[in-house]
Amino acid sequence: MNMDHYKKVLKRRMVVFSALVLVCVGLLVYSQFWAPDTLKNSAVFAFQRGLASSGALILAFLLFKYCRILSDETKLRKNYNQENDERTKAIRAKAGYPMVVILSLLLVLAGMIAGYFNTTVFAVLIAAALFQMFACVALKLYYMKTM
Amino acid sequence: MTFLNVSAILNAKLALHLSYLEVFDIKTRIRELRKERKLSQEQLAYAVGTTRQTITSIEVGKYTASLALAYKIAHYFGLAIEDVFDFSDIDDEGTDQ
Repeated sequence: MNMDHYKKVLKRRMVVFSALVLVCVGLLVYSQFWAPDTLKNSAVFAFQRGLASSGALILAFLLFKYCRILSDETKLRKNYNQENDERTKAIRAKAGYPMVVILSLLLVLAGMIAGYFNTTVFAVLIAAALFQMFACVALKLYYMKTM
Repeated sequence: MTFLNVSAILNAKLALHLSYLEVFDIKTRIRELRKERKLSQEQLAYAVGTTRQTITSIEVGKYTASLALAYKIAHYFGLAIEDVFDFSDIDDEGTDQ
């Protein structure tokens, strides 16, 4: 892949991330001004607000990072090398990426939906997702040391 | 076939590939060649399209480079792959010819 193509990939990612930031901000604005009080007092709703806030912050950081990368050819090449590094890919595969991340997101989603009916199910699903992600990160750190 | 199934198959294939790579302990002359040419790990990594950490791991023998990366490194130094990577351990095991 040449760098021009990679630039297009990054620009496409920036468009998707910008849309997601707008969705997160929209959710936060709704939750602040228009959400009913009964909803505002629930733990599930507070969790969703926290998730939307942190998601928006992370995506905004990535957007800023990609803006800087796109303006510097050396940084662009280094980032491309980093993303396509075979050792990094091997470490991620051994640690269970991307399956663990996908399953964790599905657990969080299921937890948020189930939370409106049963708070215990919500807590259990979120705890399971967190445990799964911590295990994945621990494995990644282990393989980063040994590979 | 669902997306999850495709991901699982790809992960399994990569794991198989990795387990195959771990069988061999291949020594390299990368550090020596770098020193001769006064190159840093960062510069070599940038030139061959990888990261400094990967070059470090290959040099200390923690990670075995793929054929593509081994070719790129050898090509960068203007040498053949067998001049950069020592395959004597594999040769000792014997192959059917």
